[in-house]
Amino acid sequence: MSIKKQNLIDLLSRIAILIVIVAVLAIIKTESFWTKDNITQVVFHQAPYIILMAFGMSLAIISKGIDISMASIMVLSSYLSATFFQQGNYILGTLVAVGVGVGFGMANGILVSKVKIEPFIATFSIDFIAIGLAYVICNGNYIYSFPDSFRQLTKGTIFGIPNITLITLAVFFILFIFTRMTTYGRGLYSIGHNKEAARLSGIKVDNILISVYVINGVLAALTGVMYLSRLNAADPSIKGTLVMDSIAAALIGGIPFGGGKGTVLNTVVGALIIIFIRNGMNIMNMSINWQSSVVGFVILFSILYEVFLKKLMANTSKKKKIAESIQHR
Amino acid sequence: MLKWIKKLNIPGIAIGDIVLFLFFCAVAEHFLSGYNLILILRNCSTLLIVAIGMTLTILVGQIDLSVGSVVSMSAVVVALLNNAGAPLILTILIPLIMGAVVGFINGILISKYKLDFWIVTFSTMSIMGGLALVIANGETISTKNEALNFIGNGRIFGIYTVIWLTVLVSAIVIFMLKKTKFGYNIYSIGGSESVATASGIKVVKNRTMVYVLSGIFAALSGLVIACMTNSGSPTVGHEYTFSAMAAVVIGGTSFEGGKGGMVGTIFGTMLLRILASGLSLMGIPSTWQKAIIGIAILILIVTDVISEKRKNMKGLRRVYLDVD
Amino acid sequence: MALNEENVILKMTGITKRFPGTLALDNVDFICEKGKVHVLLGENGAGKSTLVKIISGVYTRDAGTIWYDGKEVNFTDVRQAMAAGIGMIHQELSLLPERTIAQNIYLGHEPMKKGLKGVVDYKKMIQDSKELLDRLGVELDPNIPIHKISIAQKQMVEVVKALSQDVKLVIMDEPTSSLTSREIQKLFNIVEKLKEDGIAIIYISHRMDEIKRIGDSVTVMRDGQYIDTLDAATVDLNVLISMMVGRKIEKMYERNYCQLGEVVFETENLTGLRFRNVNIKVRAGEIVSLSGLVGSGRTEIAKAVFGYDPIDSGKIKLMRKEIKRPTPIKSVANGMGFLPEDRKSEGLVQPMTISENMVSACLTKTFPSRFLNTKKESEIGEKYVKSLKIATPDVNKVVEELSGGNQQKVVMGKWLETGCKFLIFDEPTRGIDVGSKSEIYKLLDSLTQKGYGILLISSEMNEIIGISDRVYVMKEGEVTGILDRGELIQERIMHYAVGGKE
Repeated sequence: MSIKKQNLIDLLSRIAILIVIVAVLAIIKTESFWTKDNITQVVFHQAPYIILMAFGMSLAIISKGIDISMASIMVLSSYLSATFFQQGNYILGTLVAVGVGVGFGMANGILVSKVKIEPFIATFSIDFIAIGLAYVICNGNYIYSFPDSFRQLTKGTIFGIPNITLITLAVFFILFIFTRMTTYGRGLYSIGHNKEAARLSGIKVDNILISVYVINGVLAALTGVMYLSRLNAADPSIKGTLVMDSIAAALIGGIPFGGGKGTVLNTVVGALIIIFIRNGMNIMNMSINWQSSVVGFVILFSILYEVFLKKLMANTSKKKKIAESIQHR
Repeated sequence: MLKWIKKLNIPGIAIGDIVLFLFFCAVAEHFLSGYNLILILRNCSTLLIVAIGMTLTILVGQIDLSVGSVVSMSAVVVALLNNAGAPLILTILIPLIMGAVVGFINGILISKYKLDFWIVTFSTMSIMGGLALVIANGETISTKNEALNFIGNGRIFGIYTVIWLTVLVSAIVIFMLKKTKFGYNIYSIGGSESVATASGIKVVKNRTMVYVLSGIFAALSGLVIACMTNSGSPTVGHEYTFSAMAAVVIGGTSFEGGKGGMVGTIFGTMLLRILASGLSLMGIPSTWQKAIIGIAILILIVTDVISEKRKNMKGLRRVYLDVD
Repeated sequence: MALNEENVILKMTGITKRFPGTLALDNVDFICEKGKVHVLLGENGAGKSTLVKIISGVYTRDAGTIWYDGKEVNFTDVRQAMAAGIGMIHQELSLLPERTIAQNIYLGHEPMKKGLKGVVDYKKMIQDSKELLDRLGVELDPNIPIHKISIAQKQMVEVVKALSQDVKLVIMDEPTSSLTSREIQKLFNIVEKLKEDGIAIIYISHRMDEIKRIGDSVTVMRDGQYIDTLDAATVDLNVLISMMVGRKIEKMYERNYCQLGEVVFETENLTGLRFRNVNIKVRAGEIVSLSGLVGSGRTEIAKAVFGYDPIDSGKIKLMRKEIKRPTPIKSVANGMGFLPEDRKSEGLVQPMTISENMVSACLTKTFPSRFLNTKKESEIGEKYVKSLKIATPDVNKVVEELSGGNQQKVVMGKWLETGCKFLIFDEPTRGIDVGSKSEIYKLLDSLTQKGYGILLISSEMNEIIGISDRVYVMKEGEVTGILDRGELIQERIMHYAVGGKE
């Protein structure tokens, strides 16, 4: 089986999981789930946040890393930029948010690539620092009520499509082209598969790794600003289980922890799976306390599913090989 | 005496402990008081028990991210069991068994089914953390029991029970690592899994056992916390994973595995707790403390990784120098 | 050959082992007697290591029977083989650098305190280690950690480790590859002692001179097949060689010496991790080799030159241009290519396709717009599949499905596409079957015709003698001798490799 075919089957199987989840919910909770309102709300208004975060997580995982600090960077950047947005100074606000994202992303990237600390530990430490600083700056004061024009970012639509959906689509296309169609992306996937070989081929491994974490930082900042607009308040507790959600989204979408596999299209599928599970839990009145456990189970399920899929494909290609060798004789 | 000290192999971090201690004695009021010193030791004990398990997992070249959630879960379980009127022995045993089961699941998935240890323990971390919230319904559960209170706040011969307990557990683990076959196997597997396998060591069994122990120690710590605070909070263990990891690494046990040991972890734990106590006595608000400790830990981890790299380079260089 | 059934300790018949893509062992028979040294001879990739790994329980066979010590056995893991008295001395040292010599000797079977289950008796362990070391005439303190002793000493500890249990059969996998002649003598004395004790020894080597020195019988293997077993005392070495390679050795190497061009690569007093004051010069159209024992610093030089490891002092010049503080990025940009010893994990990205790997070292050169062009990529892949004769149905096959020789050709294609002028080959034929080997030699030769300068690092003496223009022999990090094409004989190279400067 060619590698392209394998990847396609992989992706289709993930879409099948998504369809099954949606179908089950549509059947058992038809009146509250299968309504135009609920579906548009989930897909166009709730999903973009987790999709954007999961994009970043996916890039990190493709490079054989991980970024635990994304949610904290999001919190910190939204907090620091909140005052400017409140005063209507959008340029400065954007600069501050992006600056925070770039700065912390850079720190992550340097720790991972130059200092060579395990990505889990490096980003875990940065997470600790970023959320610590967020609480320092917050100091119990919440910033709320933003100008209407700012709130249009999430409220507004263009041609009937919500702005945030459009933003997400734009980011999707940029990242897809960037990772799949450029030399940069090829370098990224090579690093994910085999960092040493990439380094010895003269690929700028350190620069690419740093850029991955910087992009994550920027995506986190963007998500943070969108949250500001949506919630009309800056609140450190929005961090929630966003990191786990985005890890789960990447893994269940088909971007395995081993690195070098999957595209941002997988991420979208994975994020939709997670968001529908969330939505289903809400509709079925499950306590919010269940959130983190369910996501944990999804992560565990997806690594087991990965093993299952690998075995399946290895078996089929083995059978094919034996058949071929018999023919040759 | 000198030989004995040398044998213990006290790491450089001990000096860091002393320097930091003296610094806070000088700048922080009330730091050098009997009450505060005992408070530091008591705070050390809960972290140290978790860090013991973390030392073992890092020694075999891996990590257990689920310990923090197991701490929370255990504390909640203790409170709930006690409030439900369970006999004392069950109140103590059930959380420990729970920790062992979580450790066993981690261990089997990682060592037998060869799944990535980061992601496995990360998922059990979120599962257990979430379940703790579920069974506690998101709230801190207060509880009251004479015997439990004795474990947490009572004294034997004038010294807190928890301190006795921690000393006992540490001593057992130090002995285990230095003198027993299991301890030898931990170092061998961490040093090189392939060498250990080629030498006939049962890697799967030993690794699973390490994760079981890590789970049990985390649960024990949760039990102690519940006893000390007379309550079970579903988020109490939140920061334990990171702090324990930091304590171990600061103590000189390297992420590469097979290098380091318990003594360093004890000093690493003390360093973190001295830092926390000193900062709060200096009047630094608690919000700042978190950020400062985070930065301090990061700096220590970075220096550890860099010095480890230097040492490795030196090792490579020496090869031709000492021939004959 | 006469066989005394009484004395047979190991008898293997019809052993077959299949790995994905290759048939590692094909119906192999092997017999081993007590108190005798059985040399197992064959090229790299002939199946020697696979065979002994089946004996010692690392691999399980797909077919065949094994009789050991009078019983039919079926070892499924290392522990069973160890318990049955099979000791193994590994080629790649299997010691833990952080643990002491005693702890390493007794790794996995530490002596226990009587009455205390699971507690190690360290005192006894030290004492026993000392006795073992003394018995074999190795002067080492069992209390010092492994990382403080030399490679040769480590090799001795390996031997002691294998003998620390009650062994009936010892397998030695190229134990002399990193030893000096004095140390080899020591090892052979030990082997003699073992023979006197009635222990059987399987000795893997591809050094011809050792066969007569210690061997009793010699079994030749080639391409996973059993060829023949002969009496070591009377055998003709030339016969052995032709059995090993399956044809006359002259044909293996083809070298059309050509007009040399300008200097493409030069080092001046280069000093780094495991080497000092190295001066090497490579001209266009030339194959220059680095020879020496394992651990002599050969590979380290190549790695430092390419920017993999740091250098301490000295100069590196590529096309007369000095490269300061080299990194792989700079080296590639300045026209250097590096084919690492471990091509599987360092030379190629295994799950990527042939053409993707081909362009991986020159992405920006191939795609100046930074946008990938799959058509162009396939064309490049096809170009090299044709010119290097890579056996594959199409260029979109992932490289992990290719055989070792074809993988090596992909690595070559990858560097040729960069347009570099200087190539470093680190053990280019390791683990490659004989057929592909001669193809690779031919390719190397044709590269020199095209004006490439080549630095070859190899542990195979025949290879070095067969195709080099000049050889730098290294010992303990220093170049001890430089030999030109006319002076290349095995004895002279070994003289410099184990001896010293003159």
